[in-house]
Amino acid sequence: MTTLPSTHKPQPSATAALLGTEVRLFLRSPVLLFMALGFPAALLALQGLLIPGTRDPLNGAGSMSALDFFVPMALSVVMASVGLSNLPSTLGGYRQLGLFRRLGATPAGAHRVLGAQLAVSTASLAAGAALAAVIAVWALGARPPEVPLAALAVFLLGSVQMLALGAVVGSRARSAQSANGIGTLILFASLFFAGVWTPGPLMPEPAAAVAGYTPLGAAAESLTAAWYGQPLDLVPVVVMVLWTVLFSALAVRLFRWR
Amino acid sequence: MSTTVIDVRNAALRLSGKPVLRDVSFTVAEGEIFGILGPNGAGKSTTAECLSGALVPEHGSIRVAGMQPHHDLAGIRETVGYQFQSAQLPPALRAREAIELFASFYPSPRNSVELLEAVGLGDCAKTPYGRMSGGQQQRLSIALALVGNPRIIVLDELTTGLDPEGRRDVLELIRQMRREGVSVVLITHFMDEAQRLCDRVAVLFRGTTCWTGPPSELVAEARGRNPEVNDLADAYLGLLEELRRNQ
Repeated sequence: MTTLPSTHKPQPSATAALLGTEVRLFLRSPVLLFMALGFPAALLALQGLLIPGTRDPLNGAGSMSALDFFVPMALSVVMASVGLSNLPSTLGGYRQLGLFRRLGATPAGAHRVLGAQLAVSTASLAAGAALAAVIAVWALGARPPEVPLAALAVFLLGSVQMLALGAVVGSRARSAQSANGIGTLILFASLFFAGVWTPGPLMPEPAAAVAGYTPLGAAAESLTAAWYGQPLDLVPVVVMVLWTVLFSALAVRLFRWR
Repeated sequence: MSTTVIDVRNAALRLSGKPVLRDVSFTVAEGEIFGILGPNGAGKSTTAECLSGALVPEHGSIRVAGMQPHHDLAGIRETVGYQFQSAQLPPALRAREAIELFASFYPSPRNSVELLEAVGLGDCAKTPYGRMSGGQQQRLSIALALVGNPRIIVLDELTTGLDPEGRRDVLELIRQMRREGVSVVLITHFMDEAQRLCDRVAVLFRGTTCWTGPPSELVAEARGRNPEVNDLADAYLGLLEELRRNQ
């Protein structure tokens, strides 16, 4: 044990340091990396490479393949896996560690780590979507979006919506495990309504009737329309906006630092 | 005459409807090591959280370095370093990264590398928090409390889980802080630690300050009633027995 060291000026700002730390922690977590980058890419690769005939045109030369239909689903998976798995489990884990309480006693305050975590979740979501799109279009030969701007806008809205839902799950969870449990339950239900397990006509009638009103179902429906140049239905867009407002308000209302 | 840096007067607080603090009062002088003793549930950690401004007493007043913690959070956070009981870090965060992260929060932080050396973690700079021993994690939490160069430091259950060598090193570090003029509030269950380190102690019982003064005085008072009392542990246990009898 030596004498206590003298003072010096810090190099990075608190916000930049927290952001850098969150990025490092994300890159060191195999689970977070898999859920953001690996899971959607693996689903696409499974569809495109292992299931026979999914890359072949369904109705003759020039028509769409089964894989083409799956690309917007894969992008919806990215929104859901980051929003419902990564974000809530990280928030629950921080609460369990007492990290919010610890940071709340520093000049940085606990709110900044929340901001940094949201930024990293958003960036990882964007990276996961970019990776899935690149694999789909360049490696597996799926069609690129017909109306890129509309697809991007729908993707952004859907992503904000799913992050807000994840923030609700993470707002009270006492541990990473409980957040992950609840998040995974909602994730798999969401993937069902988005049509990942039972695409298009394969979805049971009662489920199909409500799918468009669920958060991820509405996102998948709008994204599919935008991706393939079909007219964008206003209903799922309004549904997403309403869910986003509701989830955001709930997350703010319910959030506990300890 | 030394300056008072902490002044707690008749603090009372209920959490979830239950009274946690009923009547807590004590003062801490500049450069003093002040111990807060008491059984589980006495209100020690709640008092520490009131000093940080995280909890606000419903009655009474608290002044820390002349500030009301909940009114001047920014000033309090720069002035007071905290080591909270059971607060942990993400397992993948490395020791040096944690120190540098916390250093970025303060206007005049201590040098991260030198601070790691000072708390005996020079060889663990790249060790992830999850792979550190309990003692190393405790030392890191002390370093995080010190990195902002605070005037006052609040240490909650500091040496719990430390081996004898780690405990000795940590206690020496606290003495070092006092030599630098830092005021230390030490919340502990270890009476030997309080007897060796603290200039004065407060004994909390069911949210009330029952006794305040130098440990030697508590021992002398108890010895007056019972000649078999040897040390602070005996005196403290005797006081608790008396308080329970009188409840």
